[in-house]
Amino acid sequence: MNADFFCNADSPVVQTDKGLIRGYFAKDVYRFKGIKYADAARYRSPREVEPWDGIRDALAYGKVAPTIEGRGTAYEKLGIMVEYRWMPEDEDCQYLNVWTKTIDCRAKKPVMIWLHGGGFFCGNTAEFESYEPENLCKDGDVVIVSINHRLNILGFLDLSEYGEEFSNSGNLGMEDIVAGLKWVKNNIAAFGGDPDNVTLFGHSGGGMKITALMQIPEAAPLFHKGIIQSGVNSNDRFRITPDKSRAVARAVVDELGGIDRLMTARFRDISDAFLNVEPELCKKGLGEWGPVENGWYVGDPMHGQITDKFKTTPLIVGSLIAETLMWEGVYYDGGASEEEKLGYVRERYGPHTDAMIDLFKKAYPGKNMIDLRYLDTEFRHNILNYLDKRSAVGSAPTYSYMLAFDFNLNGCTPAFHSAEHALVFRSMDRMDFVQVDGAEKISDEMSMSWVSFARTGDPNNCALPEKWLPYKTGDEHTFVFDRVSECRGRYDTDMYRYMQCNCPIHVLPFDK
Amino acid sequence: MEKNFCCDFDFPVVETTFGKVRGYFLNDLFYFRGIEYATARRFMLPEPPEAWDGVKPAYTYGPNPPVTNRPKINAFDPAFQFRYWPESEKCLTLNVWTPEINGSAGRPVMVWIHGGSLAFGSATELIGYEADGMSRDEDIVMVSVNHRLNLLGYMNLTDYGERYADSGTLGMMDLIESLRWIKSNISRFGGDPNNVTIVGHSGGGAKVRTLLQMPDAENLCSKAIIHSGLRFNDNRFRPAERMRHDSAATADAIVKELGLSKASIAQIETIPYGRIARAFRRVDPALRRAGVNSMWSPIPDAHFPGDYTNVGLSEKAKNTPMIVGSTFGEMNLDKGVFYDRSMSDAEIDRLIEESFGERHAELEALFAKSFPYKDRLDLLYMDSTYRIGSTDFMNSRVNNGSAASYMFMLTYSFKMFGGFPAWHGSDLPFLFKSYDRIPIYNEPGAQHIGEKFNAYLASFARSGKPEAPDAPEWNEFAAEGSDTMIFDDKPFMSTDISYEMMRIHDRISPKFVPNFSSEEDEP
Repeated sequence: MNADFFCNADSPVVQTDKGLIRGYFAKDVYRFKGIKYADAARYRSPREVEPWDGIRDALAYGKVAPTIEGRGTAYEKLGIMVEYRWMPEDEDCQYLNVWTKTIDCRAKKPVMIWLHGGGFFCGNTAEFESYEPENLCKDGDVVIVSINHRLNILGFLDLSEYGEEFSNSGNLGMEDIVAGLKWVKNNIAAFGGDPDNVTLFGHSGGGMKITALMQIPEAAPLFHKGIIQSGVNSNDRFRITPDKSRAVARAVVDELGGIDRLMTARFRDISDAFLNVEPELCKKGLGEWGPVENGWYVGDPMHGQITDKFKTTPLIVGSLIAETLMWEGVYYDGGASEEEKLGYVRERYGPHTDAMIDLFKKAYPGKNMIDLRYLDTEFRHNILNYLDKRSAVGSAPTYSYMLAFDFNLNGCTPAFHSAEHALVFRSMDRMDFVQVDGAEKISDEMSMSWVSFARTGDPNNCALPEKWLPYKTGDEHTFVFDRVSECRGRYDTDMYRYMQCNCPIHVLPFDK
Repeated sequence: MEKNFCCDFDFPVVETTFGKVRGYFLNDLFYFRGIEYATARRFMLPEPPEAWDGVKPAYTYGPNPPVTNRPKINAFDPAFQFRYWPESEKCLTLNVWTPEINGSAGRPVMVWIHGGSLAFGSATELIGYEADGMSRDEDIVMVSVNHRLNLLGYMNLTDYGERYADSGTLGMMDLIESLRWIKSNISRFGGDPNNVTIVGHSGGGAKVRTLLQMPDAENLCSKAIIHSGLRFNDNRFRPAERMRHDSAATADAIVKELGLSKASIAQIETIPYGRIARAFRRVDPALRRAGVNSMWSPIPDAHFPGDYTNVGLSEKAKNTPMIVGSTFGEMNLDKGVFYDRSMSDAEIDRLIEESFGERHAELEALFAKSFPYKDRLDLLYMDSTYRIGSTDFMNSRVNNGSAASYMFMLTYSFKMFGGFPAWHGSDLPFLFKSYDRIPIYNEPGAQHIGEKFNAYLASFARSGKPEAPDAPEWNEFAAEGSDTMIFDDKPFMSTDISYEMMRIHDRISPKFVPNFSSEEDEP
């Protein structure tokens, strides 16, 4: 191992626009953790932090946004599959982290900003061991930033009926992210980054945040490219119109006993008030958190207005073969007999089993049949629609991918929601379950594609065995990462179209 | 390294006395996490878990024992790498790392007992507690144990009825139950049930010290190691009458705050833990002001005859070979004060005078003799509390004709703030060989000292004698001696550390009280 740690009174110290901060250096990478990028009063827009004298330490992750009781991601029970980490929660949660190989302000390295998943209701930048990006930073020679922000009832409760000062309170979580992006714009050069080459990458809800940011004009000048990992979901429940968001706010305010209470109550009381009214809200199709279509945020491009930013931003968009596996809570033996596996498949597809097997074999020749049992129906069909929309209206390329790798867990476990983190962040050494033949090769392919895209807007690089062609309706190229990776045209569209018409679509239950 | 992770429905599986468990395998090592070794109702003795059919997954750490305060962000993660974890009262689980299962069973076993006083912490609290490095490289079966803490482990409700007769030592009884599980099961995990070394740090050291006094634990371990776990004037180990009085007064105050009485006490077994914890936080400041020691501690009872300072060392405590040690700076990192190495001599003079008053010159002279290889400035970082506590314990052992006793001090200065002497817990990544995962150890000096330290401890677990290749012989601590293995830039024996200096330092240096705050901290 290289042996280079240092953290001294005066180094590494970086000048930000508000004051000096100190981080530490280890394994070829400078780390600055827990940088306060904004302050915010409850239900108010973020504001710039006050300048300070002297040096502030940025040596540990900051606190993270509070989550509604019992409303985690269900990851916590999955042990080695995710290596979940809990962080102390607090309303004071506007912190970001920076990893960089250089603090030379002339270096102008590409900047990659990570937006975590967890819908718009939970998660944080440190929740997975695999989120540690030091190797991606080092091997990819990029500056990496990850941003924490408000969530759920503090970040997306639309109080606009209760006063002008709350006009955009339904989007405060997004406002926080925009404030974080502004901090990056103003400061990242001092950390060796290029403020004019910023790529957002995000997973699940983090991917949805990227689509939302493209539809927020205030954010448009602050980033240039996007990588959306398993993060396209245009189901109606995520489409939050003012009618819907205001109804939620009214229910919560009434339950709590007035808007004034909302300003002074403990977070736990507010979230309990929400939990009390949630069953009624759910009956009306309400209660999902997300940005509110109100002009500041112009709405989901799949449903309504499309911004120029959506058309002109180069994107990578993709997902994994078995996204929803872990939410089913049932694990099948991937080493079972073919007959048993056929039984599992039949259990799911019923009368459509034979057709699905045919379509699956065309899409994934030679794959374990257990993968069909687990096949994703949360993201891929949404992504195909999204890719077609981009193909129709976009002027910038969209690169589509699929991670179809099977891990050596329970005989055979196809890639599930979040399984790519260790590969993309090159944090395999922190995750035991990915330590199998073939995974490191895919890690190189994916991570170097991400980095290459961040650098130039084109993911193609020497780690890829063949050219990754952008997606166009008709050709429909998707880069399939697997033991043998290849760029395939229109390889699973028929299967998904068939499924959409004939088979019940899974909906993520999250923890409800 | 080979990439051969494997976790199947039928491999790796071990049949324990209660049922089969399924862990995972990676790079010549088997991992089992969160094995339930006991179950316990609140304020009651632990019992063996219910046996189960089929195979239970054991690849997720069990929940932490509940604690009375919200976790705070640790401000210095290059050195600590904290891991926060959900809590549950159903927390009696242990973790095993081993090179072999269902085969030969002769490996030494080391059982990790975490610190955090007797109130906080867990087996997974720090990344540094990951024990795969030690297990794989030294062929040792490593076990770490969660057990009840704070009011769940030590709230003395004995005045409220026979039912609660054991409530003052439950945390210790959990540990004993885990040692019983190890005795019965560890051979299936490749371990020798007759060669078990218990290892504790800080509060975990206090637990080791207590276990050695408890007859129930007598046949369950054969060697012991205490890292920075013996404090001078430790008010968790006052005479039995005082302990019983103060713990009963603490319990009384909590019960009253909850609005309960002898008649309604049964409710305390079912109300949410958070309410009892809040009641404790509310009454604690007044208890302290009234001179009641409300720190959670094992209370002498039918299981625990009392601490060695009150009833003398048990035969077990005498006959158990031990390593005992401390770090040079102990609480220096918690204090959060960092001295600039580029200060002028005059500035250093002023700081030393300011800190130690009129006896500063005497102290400085003793320091120069004790630690000729340290900077004068290091005196400002020096610990005496743990060194005196450890030395007193060692003297008590050797004066009573004990089994072999070995003492160490980690004096190494890490490459931080121009050189920062070893702090409380900085030796633990060396014990576990987990230092590659913690940024601050990422420098040649720390790696070098870590390898030696690890080798000595592994050797002790194997044979009872700490030996390391290409390293000096570790002499036993002799009567009224100060024989100490120093881990500085390299390891060497020293007999120079002045006990008198430590006592002077203890008397005149300002006391640092770690912030185990009891303030209201509702989320």
